[in-house]
Amino acid sequence: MMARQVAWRLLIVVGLGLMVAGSVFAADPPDEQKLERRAERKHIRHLMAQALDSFAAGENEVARAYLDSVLMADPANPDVYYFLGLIHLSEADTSAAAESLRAGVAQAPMSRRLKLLLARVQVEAGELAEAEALAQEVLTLRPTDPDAAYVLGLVALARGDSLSALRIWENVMVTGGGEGR
Amino acid sequence: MKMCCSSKISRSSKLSCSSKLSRRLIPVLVVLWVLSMGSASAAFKYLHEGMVPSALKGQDLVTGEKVEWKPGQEDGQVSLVVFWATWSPRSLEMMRDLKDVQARYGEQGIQVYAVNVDGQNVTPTVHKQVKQVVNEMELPFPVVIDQGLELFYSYGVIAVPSLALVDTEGRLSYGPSGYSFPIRDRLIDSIEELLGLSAPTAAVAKKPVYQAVKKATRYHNLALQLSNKGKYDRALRNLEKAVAADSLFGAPHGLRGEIMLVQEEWSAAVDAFTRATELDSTRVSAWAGLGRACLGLEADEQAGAALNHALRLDDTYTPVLLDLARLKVRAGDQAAAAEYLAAVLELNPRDPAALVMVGKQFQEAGDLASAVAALQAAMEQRVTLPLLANPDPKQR
Repeated sequence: MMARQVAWRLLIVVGLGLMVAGSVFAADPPDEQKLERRAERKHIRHLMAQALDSFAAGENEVARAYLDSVLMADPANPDVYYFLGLIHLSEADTSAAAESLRAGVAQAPMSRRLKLLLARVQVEAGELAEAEALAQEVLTLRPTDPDAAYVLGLVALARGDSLSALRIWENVMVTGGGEGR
Repeated sequence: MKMCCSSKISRSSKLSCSSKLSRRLIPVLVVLWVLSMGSASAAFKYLHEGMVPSALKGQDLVTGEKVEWKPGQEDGQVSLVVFWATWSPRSLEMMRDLKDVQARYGEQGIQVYAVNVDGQNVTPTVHKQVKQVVNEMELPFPVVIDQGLELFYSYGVIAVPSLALVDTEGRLSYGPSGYSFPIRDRLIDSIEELLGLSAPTAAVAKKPVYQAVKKATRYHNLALQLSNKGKYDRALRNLEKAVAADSLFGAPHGLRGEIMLVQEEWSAAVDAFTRATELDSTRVSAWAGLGRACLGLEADEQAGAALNHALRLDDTYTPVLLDLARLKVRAGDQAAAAEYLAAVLELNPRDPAALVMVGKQFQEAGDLASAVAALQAAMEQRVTLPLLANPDPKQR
């Protein structure tokens, strides 16, 4: 009985040893391109954090400079365009915000966040048909998206149709679990 | 207790359920009615006096340094974790008072940790707003943003602001929701008692708190995490293990009831909450859950009894006030419902469920503009888009 237990344990130890050895020898040598990409991603994260800190400190120009640096490394980064849009909005410059966001949507056409923020800005600018189209685009992919429904409600309100706005929002709050977790 | 549960109960079976329910609940209510009607108990949904709260991690908004707090990690330290938001006037009042608390009792061993819960998604704009408020107030304690409201859901915060006073052993000692003069006074008394600066006062003196077996607490906490991620089956399995490890621990029954409520298994929820109240008759969340489950079964009389019992234990527990409003709406008493809703919004001005109900009331009264305003405010709790209409938090 004792010998059997020892044999089993030995077998497990040898098995584990073989697995570890196999994984060490089978692993690819470090890929230089991978390492470069990792370093670049880290650099971008650092620049974004710096931009956030500058924005929080009210230094919008510094934040913009950091975001420009990110765009040089990653021209299709949707977060940068979103952030630039927010900076313009904090300066009450709706048209500049819309411009940044449009550029972002052109670079990253699948970005839900960019489309909806652009739609929200377009509601402010009275471009209701464009805002509605963008919100509907998002709803086609995500039928219960609360942000898209919010924008659609705002579009209805801007057209003077309060009842439609109420219906759209009630639907989201009831079906979408408006009470939270 | 035999269940009459089904997620899709027909009206007739609901009624028969409710009569069975009456027979079940009457003895429980009668026995427990006379028990402990003392001071308000912990008002978090998932965290009760004597339990160990979740740890806190984040980055201090002022210094940028890492903040890591584990309950009971520092010898002799009493901790006060507060949930606050820039849009809540009572939060700002509380933060001003806590500056004094930290200054007065800091050297004696208290540390305040402020957790900002401005919203589920923190955009750069929200980050900036929070930081501005924090800088203006010159707070002498760490302030972190609760990304994704993880800690908020882990504690089961039901109103903003809320406080969790944690003793030197890392267990919740006092956890009120809202902030008022009586709460402030009791908080000071509790702090002084925990720091050994004064003897317990009548308000602070409490019954001994049940200390659950550690293994059961671990299973319960794991179940809570799983439940917050929507993994209910795994959560329920862990709750069974928690109950097996400590059959006298009430929290797993309460959490099981909450999961049953989400799944609209009303009768199973009644059973779970009834057990939770049997084990701890001062647990507000269990009475509130029992009331909600009875509402689901359309057993309005029992619902009212359970909810009013919960209200007597803690009149700031907003889910109870909301359910009482629902009960009044069902009874056609719109005026009483409006009073309950006003009380909810006084405690938690951005409670989405209350705003939706207020919106419906305005709509029924023909005031479309006010209905839209209430619904829009409710929607703004769900959206992640920046709110352009009023970017200044002080004006919201």
